[in-house]
Amino acid sequence: MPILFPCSEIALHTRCENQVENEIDRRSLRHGDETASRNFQKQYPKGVHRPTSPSRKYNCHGLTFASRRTWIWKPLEIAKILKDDDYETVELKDVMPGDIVVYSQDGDPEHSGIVISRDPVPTILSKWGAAHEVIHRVIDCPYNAAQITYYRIKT
Amino acid sequence: MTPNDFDLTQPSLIFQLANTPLFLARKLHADPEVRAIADNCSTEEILAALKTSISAESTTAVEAVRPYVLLVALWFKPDIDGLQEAVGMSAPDLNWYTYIGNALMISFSPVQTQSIRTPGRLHFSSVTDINLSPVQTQSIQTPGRLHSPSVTESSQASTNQIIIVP
Repeated sequence: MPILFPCSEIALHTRCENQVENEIDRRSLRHGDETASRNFQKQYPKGVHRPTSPSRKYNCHGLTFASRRTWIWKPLEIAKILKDDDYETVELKDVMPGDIVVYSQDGDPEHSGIVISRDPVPTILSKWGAAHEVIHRVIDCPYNAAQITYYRIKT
Repeated sequence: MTPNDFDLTQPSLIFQLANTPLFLARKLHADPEVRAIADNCSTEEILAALKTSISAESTTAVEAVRPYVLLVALWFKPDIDGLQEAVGMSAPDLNWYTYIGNALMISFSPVQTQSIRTPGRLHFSSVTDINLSPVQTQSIQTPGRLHSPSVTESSQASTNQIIIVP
């Protein structure tokens, strides 16, 4: 078994082979983390709260852009991914499952997720910070839903 | 009250939800408990509590968010010295500490204290009795705003580009 540091960075490249800064925090949960997750479940009863425990190994951006492998938090890194990986913006009327959504506030991509359905409001699979994964209506979450952009990757 | 006497339950929930450091900074900036720390504790008290919280390993969500709470509380102080000293502290175990500190420094604007003199009102208890209340002086503190996150990052934009060779 390899010895892993409590916190480290993995090799994560864009399509253009640029490294995306990231950090995995493998340290154990803190007292209060589980309680916070339960609190969010009560606050957002309409969401489907997946039975994933809180974790600092990955965040929403790690789920959306890095297959749940790591935590990405710098705004420029998200911009780098969107540019290098050829993401195009999509109008709400054209949004389909498989597209992604990025919630922003003053240029800070504070949340992201993957669109999994439209009926007719997009439903998103995401992870709420260090808390658990949630399937939620696009505006039914604790992030700024006033500034939402949908993207689709070009193949 | 010392900075450690305030209830940080809500800030700890914010910390749990934060995907990015600027989300955390924005939400803490709007949190009444953070403001209460700034209003009720001196810069020296906050700095002392900050030094302790940085050096201790956090085992609870409240302990984990405390350094960030104290950092943002310093932003509300009228002069930048406390915040500047805090940003200069070494916090190797707190990956967002320097980033948030720099963002706060960039958005810092000094508190303006403005004294407004409002004339006293004339109270007539009877036709013959006129009571002139003293002039009232009211202090209004107008803190600067946490502006958009124009933070200088060490990370560079993409260096590789797609080149299609014919």
